[in-house]
Amino acid sequence: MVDTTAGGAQAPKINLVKVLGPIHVWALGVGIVLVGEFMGWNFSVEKGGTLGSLIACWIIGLLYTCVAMLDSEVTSTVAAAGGQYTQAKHTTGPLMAFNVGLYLVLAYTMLEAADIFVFGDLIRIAAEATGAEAGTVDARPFVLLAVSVLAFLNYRGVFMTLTVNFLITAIAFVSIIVLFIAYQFGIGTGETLQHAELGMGELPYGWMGVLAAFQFATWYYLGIEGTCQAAEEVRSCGRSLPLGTMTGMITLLIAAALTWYVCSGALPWEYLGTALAPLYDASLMSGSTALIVLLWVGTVFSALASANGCINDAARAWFSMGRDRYLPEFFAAVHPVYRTPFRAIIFLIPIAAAFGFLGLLAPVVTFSILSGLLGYTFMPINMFRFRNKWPLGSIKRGYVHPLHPLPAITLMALCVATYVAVYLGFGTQLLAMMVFYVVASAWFVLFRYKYVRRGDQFTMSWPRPKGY
Amino acid sequence: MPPETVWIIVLAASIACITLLVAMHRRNRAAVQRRRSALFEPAYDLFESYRVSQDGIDYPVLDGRYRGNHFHLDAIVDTLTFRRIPVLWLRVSLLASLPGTATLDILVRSQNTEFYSPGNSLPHVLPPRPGWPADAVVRTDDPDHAPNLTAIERHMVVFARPQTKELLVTAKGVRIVHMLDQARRAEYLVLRQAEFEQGAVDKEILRDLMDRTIALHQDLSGKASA
Repeated sequence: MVDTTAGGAQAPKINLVKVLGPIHVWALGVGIVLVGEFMGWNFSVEKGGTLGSLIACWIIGLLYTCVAMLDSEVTSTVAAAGGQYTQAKHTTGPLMAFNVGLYLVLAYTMLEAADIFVFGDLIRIAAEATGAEAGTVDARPFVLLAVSVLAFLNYRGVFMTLTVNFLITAIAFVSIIVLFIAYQFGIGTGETLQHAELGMGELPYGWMGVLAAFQFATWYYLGIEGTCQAAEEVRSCGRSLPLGTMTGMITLLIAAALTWYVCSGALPWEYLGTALAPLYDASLMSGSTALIVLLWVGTVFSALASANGCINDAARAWFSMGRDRYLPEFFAAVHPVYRTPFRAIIFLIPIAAAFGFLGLLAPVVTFSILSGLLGYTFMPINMFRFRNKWPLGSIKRGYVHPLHPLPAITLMALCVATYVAVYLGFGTQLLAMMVFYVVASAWFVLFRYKYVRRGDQFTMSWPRPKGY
Repeated sequence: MPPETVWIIVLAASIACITLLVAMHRRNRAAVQRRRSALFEPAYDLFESYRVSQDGIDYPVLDGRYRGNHFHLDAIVDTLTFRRIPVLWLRVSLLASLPGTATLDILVRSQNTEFYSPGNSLPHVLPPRPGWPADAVVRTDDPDHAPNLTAIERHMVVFARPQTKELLVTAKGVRIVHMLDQARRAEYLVLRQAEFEQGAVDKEILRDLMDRTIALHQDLSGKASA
């Protein structure tokens, strides 16, 4: 009987390939990063002027192209979840994995703080625009309300409750297009774009200003690497990964270009560089109520959609670190009914809310960028170790990125340049962040490492690395 | 337009929107509940008797008798692995005691986030036997009373099917964890929602999984194969 049953059913052909339509590819590329077009990127204008911001946008675009190339190779080979966190466990070790986990948690938590801060401020702006006396509306209750609702949704399992989220991402994207068309063709607005009159073509702080603009130019793309990292279950990794990621990059470049073009033609750069929500401000300049409402809605929706994803991701990274015993196992609890990492969710929410309450958007954005940047800096190191330990041919790679080591070296050089840029603008914060990571690493080595099950860290069935 | 009129329009539009959203939500919820309740439907006729229970819009649980054995089937949505598409796991549990047997858990492609598996809490790691999946993690709470791995050997063929995730033996019975479906990628990446396309189990696969648990149980309990 046993033999009969063992061979009784044919092993079915596994069906893991997801056939994505163009709308899906668009959604993947745009949905994750879109909030960056509505806020944050414009601080680069303050550093380098409108032209400087555009140059920084292109150079940082190169940085992200390198990120996508390197990430595609490792991710298409490390057929395991966890992105850079899992990669660090395999190529470097627990201390690096702990740090990478922290980068990811902080990058998401700080982005969430920025999202909800912008949400609160937009509520205040809307209240004042509809007649409330300036200074009488406190945005903080709205920040708290938004974060509570999103936290509850995540705690409860983000299922069915945010069915409208796809719609709101789409509305946000459409609002950028509509604003561009309105200005370009003068539909619904008497205003025209005045690039030359508003200081276009000048570098107010020279090339040093362009360098300083690097850190905020990352905001155009921050998070695109998530597209390829979550794709490890795609069967035809070698094809789908680079295609999906590169299409996303192209879409973002278009969205970034439109945003920059409209904003720099509608707002003087001195104002644009400090604006909270530049696209919304550009709509204010049009004088069209319909455009103003549309862009307000687009900005709010993009912020909420982004915050929702951030709560989800940060909590899961925190949870994974708890499961691996990099953090107290207390955080590795799963809700018995909703199956969510509820302690990780609840623990991180007050941290994000506290930073959201600080009211300092640029430093919070810097925190997020810096944590992301530390993750990107790890990528070239990761790639060199990966290629040395498992040279080409020793394991099956889904995708081999061309011209190695040129992209890795380029990425490292651009990361260093961006650190210099961060130092120029937020030197104290950069040093404080570094001290934080050093202290956290010391804590890990001295107090946590003894709990880590070292044998459990390596989960891939690869041959022994070269030299071991 | 006077401000009062504007406010009335805004209020009416808001009420209409909220009503519409509530109606959409309720309709969606009912559709999801209906779709999920049919998870085991294609396999009902496999069972001599069965009882299906569903809590809200959760996936249903089936308790039934198959070839004279008591089976407990449930589905788990796994959204916890960091940067991974959510997975819908089917747990096929044969509830038939194996007195004196320690818990033995064989897990493949372990990420250390398998909350539905007791493996993480089992203190002893046993080396997998030659020919087993290279990434198999074999754990037990008591190596002296764990089932003989030689007896497990011929049942390891279950892992030839790439959807098989776990084989668990405890004093209470035998369980196989099988991947039913993965969430739609686009929905998860953009919205962080776990949407599954596959609405029901495959009858033949389920039959095969239950037969395999029975065969393993018979080997471990020393009963002759029927």
